[in-house]
Formats: sequence, C-alpha cells, structure tokens
Amino acid sequence: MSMHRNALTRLAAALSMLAIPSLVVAHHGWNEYDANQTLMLTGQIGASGYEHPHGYVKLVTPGKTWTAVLAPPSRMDNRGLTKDMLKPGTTVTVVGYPNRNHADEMRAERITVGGKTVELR
Amino acid sequence: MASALHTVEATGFGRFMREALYAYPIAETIHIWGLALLFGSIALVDLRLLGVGRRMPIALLARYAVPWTLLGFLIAALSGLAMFTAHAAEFIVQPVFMLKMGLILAGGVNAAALHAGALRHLASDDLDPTPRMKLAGGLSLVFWLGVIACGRMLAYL
Repeated sequence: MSMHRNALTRLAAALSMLAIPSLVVAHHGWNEYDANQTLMLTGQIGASGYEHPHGYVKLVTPGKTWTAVLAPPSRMDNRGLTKDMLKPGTTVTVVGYPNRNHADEMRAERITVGGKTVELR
Repeated sequence: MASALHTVEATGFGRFMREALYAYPIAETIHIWGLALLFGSIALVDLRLLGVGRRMPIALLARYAVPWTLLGFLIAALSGLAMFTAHAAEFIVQPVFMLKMGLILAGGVNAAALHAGALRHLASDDLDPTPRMKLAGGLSLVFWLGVIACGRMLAYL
C-alpha cells in the first residue's frame, strides 16, 4: 500500500517537474520576440503564405531576407488584409519584433500594404 | 519519414486545413470539445479511484464513463489529425509533440490495463479502491493533464 503510494507520489513529482519547466519555457517562448527592439522593415515580398495557424511573408530587404510572421488568415481577412494584397513582388512595410533565437525571423505587429496599415495583434 | 509527411501536407486536405479561412479554428474548437468530454469523464473516474465520492460504486461509474471517454477521444483524435495534416513535418520534429503522443499512449495503456485487469473482477457494489486502482487513477490524471499541457504548449514552443 505505502509502496504504491510512494511510487505514485514520486511519479507525480517527476511528471510535474516536466510540466513546470514547460510552463516557464512558454513564457520564454512568448518572450522569444524582443519587444524592446522594434524593427521597421520595408521590402518586396519574395514569397508569402496565407495559411494557418499563422500567415507569413518572406520580406526581401537590402542585404537580408526576413521571415515576418503575420496573423491567422481568418483575422487578416477580417481586418481587410486579403491574400491578393500579399502577392510576391508587392512592396510592404512591417513593424515588429525580432526573434531572439532566429536572426532572420520577426513577429509583425502591423503591416502596411499599398497605403493601408493593418494591425495584426 | 520527412518526405512522407511533406506528402501529407501537400494533399488537398492538408492545403485545405492551412488555407481555408475557418477550417483550422473550427478544428481547434472541435478538438477542445473532444478533450473536454475525454478528460471530464476520465477525471471523474480517476478521482473516484483515488478515493473521492465513496458512496458511488467504482465499477458502476467506471463502466458508465467508458463510452463517453472513447467518444471524446475519437472527436479529439480526428480533429487533431486534421490539424496535424496542415503541418505534419513541423509537428513531428517538436519534442513536446512527441511527448504528447507518448503520454496519450501511456494514458491509453493505463486505462486498458485497468479495465482488463483490476476493474473486470470488481463486484458492482464495491466501494473501496485497491492500491492498484489508486495508482492507476493517479497515473491517469497525471498522463491526461500532461497531454493537455503539451498540446497547449505546442503553440508556444
């Protein structure tokens, strides 16, 4: 009886130690984008994905091609940012935060296409 | 393996899950319906196995819950598979996804072993869980809570 209870307690403790760091990591994951460093990038769309769970554009800027993570397409559509507006070749400006771990990735807070600015968060 | 998963992503259904405006959020919603039914029903049994609600005969509750738990699992598995096809090759390389699959397997084996073993010979009016049943109930709670935590973390890791 007590042996089983011991085993159960130990297993629960071991698994909760798995769970707790992942919760901590989640906050790091959210902080993966450095909000203290705002980027404003203008360039041409090299490729784009109007797809779930997040859309993206490959933004070709002088010297570097960024992957800018956008919002879910349902939200972008809702806010008037259609798939057509993100066609390759289009010039856009994105404002957002760089990923701390992936030097060419950023999370866009807003995007300006053809004079129209759309909030993504 | 990776190319097979890219093939899965390239299917019409994979594209549909990525590109249809509301398919993915609808699948997410159905997934939560499924896991609510799965976890809600199994958690009641797990708590009973741990000794909560002593007036309720164990076998009665456990057998009543099974079809609801299986239905919840079916709903969650199908909606999960639909979301998986959208980004199969990306999911499979995420450690937290593999941990989630491992925990689902562990939860399934734990429940099957309990029902095939200790619960099968239980008298229908029995009120006292054996240590084996308590262990299984505790493990089950830990496994399924872990599954839910891993699933949620998939969006953030």
